[in-house]
Amino acid sequence: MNKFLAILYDTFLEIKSGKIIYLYGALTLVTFVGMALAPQFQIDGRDIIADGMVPQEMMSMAQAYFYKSFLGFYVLLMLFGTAWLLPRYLGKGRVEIALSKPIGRIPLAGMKFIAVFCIMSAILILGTMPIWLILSIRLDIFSMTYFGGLLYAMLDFLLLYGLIFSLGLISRSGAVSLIGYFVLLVASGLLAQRMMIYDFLGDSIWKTILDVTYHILPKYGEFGENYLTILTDWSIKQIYPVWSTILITVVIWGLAAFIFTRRDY
Amino acid sequence: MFRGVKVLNWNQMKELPSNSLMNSNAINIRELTKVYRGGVRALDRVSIEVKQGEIFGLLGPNGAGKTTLVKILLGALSATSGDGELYGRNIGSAASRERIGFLPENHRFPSYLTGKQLLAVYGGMAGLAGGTISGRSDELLRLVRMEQWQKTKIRKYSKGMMQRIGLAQALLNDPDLIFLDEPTDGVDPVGRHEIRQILLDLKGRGKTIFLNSHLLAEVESVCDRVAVLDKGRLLKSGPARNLIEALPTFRIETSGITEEQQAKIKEAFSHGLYDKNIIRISFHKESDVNALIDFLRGMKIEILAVIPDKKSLEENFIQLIRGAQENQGGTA
Repeated sequence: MNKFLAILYDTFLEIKSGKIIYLYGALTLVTFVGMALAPQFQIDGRDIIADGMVPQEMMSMAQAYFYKSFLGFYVLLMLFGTAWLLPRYLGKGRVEIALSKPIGRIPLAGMKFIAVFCIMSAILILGTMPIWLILSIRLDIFSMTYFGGLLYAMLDFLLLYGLIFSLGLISRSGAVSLIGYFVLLVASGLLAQRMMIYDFLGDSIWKTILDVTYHILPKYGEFGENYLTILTDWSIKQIYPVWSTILITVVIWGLAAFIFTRRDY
Repeated sequence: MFRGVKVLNWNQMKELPSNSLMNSNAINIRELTKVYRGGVRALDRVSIEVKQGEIFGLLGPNGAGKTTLVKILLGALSATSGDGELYGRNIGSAASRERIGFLPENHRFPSYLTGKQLLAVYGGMAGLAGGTISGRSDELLRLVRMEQWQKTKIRKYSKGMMQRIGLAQALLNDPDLIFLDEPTDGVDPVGRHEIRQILLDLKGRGKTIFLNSHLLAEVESVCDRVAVLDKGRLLKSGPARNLIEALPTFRIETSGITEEQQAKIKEAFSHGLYDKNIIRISFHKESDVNALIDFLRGMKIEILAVIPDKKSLEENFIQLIRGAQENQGGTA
């Protein structure tokens, strides 16, 4: 436990020292102040919210769209803020000291991963909850589905950071990790739409190749589509992209950890 | 049959005083070889034993394989072949690193930490509890004279201060075996003396120290035994004094040596260094110089002075390395 707490403490201090932490704070602060000071919408002198001029469902849907965008953007910022943590940790002159401690390489990588996840999850909660609170007060709709969206965003970050962490473990480069993430994000989005070009492919081998590629890659595009349904009625639109992305991320992580145990530093 | 013999587990063994385990070696390595990708042979069948409680020095020029050897012992690198143990535990295993401390060369401690935070982080990673870390940190910060800098960020430290805090980090878990890679690099002369004193104090407490250093005087002053590596091969190992001991050397000043006479002297005493009227030459025994004096006098050469000229450690070290390189060239 002492070893994990030490890594958690170190990770916290490293994240705290980074400039991107101010960006999270600024984003939350600006959004919060903007919402707090925003004027009431009125038509002919009547408050559209207080006077019930807009149906409740429509307001809830608008709120869900906003939370989806805000949580998604926050997760993206979190990925940018954490992509360099592991490569720096594995840098020459630093990694030797970590490896000289009585910790196996897989536990070391695992503890670092969990430490980053815990801290970033706390930032996600602290950064988005004030927004939920002010929006709920202003609209007078305390949507509990936000918490479902929050948990889903944490899972989203866990999986995306799992990929970035794995790529960082292999490449020791934050830039390569982020590029790898974007390539997979675009590829998964395109592959999700592969049905649209099936008619042009006929029964060719390309159809099989696209199918296999779709199934063996993480499905980040479709994974993100569940945000809206969770935020509106707690339902999950597509479960296959969720469990298959979890499974594939676990496999990628395991492979990266295996390479890490064999690597010379 | 074994009635009365108490079998101790690992934790109980750790509680024993250091001298209870004095009969075993702290480090055993056998035929350790490391070939990097691309075929560079960094270590070539190196075997070393380091006894508990001694200060062992590893010498060698740049690229000799010293850091590679230490990294293999600490599990940062894997050996291509060969094996070894630290306190009887296979190198590379997490358990083998429980009783060690390490100060690497060219370390890059996280610049966002203060000295005190650095000790807290690495102490925790060594498995120490918060209370123990706090007590040990205060003690070690005093020892390395860094108390007043403990709350300063490491990015503001000088090279010498980095070495000092690095040494404190290496000693935090009260290790039985300490690996130090160029510990006095960048430290001022007073600091160097203090670090040497710390090493001798640690040895006095039964600690084993494995010292990588380019500084021969430092090695000579603190090490019990020394090994010399060059191009991955172990050239020599043994007590420091024997290994880099200087042979009796003389500087003989003469006058009016002709080229013909010098050629005759060179033929008879081929291992000397000749520069016009000055001869610099080593003998296995001091009395052997008389043979050269008689030879010179036999040729009616005037001898102005015979000056004992002890070779420096550096010269002996260079001679050892050059000799090995020439042998290698000869056999190649």
